[in-house]
Amino acid sequence: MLLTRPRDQGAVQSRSWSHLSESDQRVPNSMSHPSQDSQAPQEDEAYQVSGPLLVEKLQEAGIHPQDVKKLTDAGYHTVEAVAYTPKKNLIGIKGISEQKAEKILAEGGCCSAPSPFDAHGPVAQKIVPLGFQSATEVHARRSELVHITTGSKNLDTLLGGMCV
Amino acid sequence: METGSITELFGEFRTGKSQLCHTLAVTCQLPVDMGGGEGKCLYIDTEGTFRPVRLLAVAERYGLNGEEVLDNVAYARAYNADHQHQLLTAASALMSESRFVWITFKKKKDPNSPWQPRFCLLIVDSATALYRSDYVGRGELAARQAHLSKFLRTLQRLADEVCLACIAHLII
Repeated sequence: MLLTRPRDQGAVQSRSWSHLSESDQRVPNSMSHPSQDSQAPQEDEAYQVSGPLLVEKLQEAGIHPQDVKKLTDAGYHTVEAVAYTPKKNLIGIKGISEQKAEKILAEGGCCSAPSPFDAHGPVAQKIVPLGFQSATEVHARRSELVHITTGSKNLDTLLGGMCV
Repeated sequence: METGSITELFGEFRTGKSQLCHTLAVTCQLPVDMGGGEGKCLYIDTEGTFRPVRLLAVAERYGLNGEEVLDNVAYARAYNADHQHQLLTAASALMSESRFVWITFKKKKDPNSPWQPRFCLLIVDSATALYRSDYVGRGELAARQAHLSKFLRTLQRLADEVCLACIAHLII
């Protein structure tokens, strides 16, 4: 999953930066308890738009909580992690049968995401888009990519290559 | 490159396999008399090496509109061998439909447009990378070969049916 800036850049980002500076000025402890801050949930929402989804989300799609527990125990904590796993690995988890694995995969990922190329339109409540999309979308998403500086501008250009 | 067949690229890393794929994704959109295929491109990427910015650079070189070029490339990232095969099935559905959809779409937009793009190129950037990590060791060699040959067979059938050029890009 790519680390991207929140979608609504103008409003959300200025808010989050001001929030950070506020908490910096306050007691240092407040950084470790962001949930106490009233503004925190809004930020979380902004980041969850492009962030990974917890595996518990599968429960809403009709997967039994016990099966979800099995997935977490096996190290699959996000819906993405499950969707990107081959079926035979899921069957390898104790207590997950082939049919269950198929159901989980079917709910977790969809092969034909709604895109201008798709004639069918949105496919039933699937969570992780796994199908085709136009390169324009990929380009738009990549342009939101966060870059981390190395400290040297020239080295940044060199490493960033085409992203700069 | 021949249409209706699979072209296989192989070579060491950093020899320009992915670069060639990016170039072909653009040149396939050129008119036939300029050496293109007058069509769109499907790009299945298994290693996350797809860079739209490179497409834009190639588009500039051929004097094409960058936005249109990006719109004409359908991209999908494959995460495992099963998924790669599923994408191929999705691709075949897209291709058979795309002709119809695009003709109606174009008619609405510009009824006089003579150019009705359809998919003419399918790129699988590294067809074997996922097989190498999904099927480890000699014990799974048979299953891996079976799955791979099934994949290539579907690819070939697609090339025959819709008359497009396929690139499977294998690293040994």
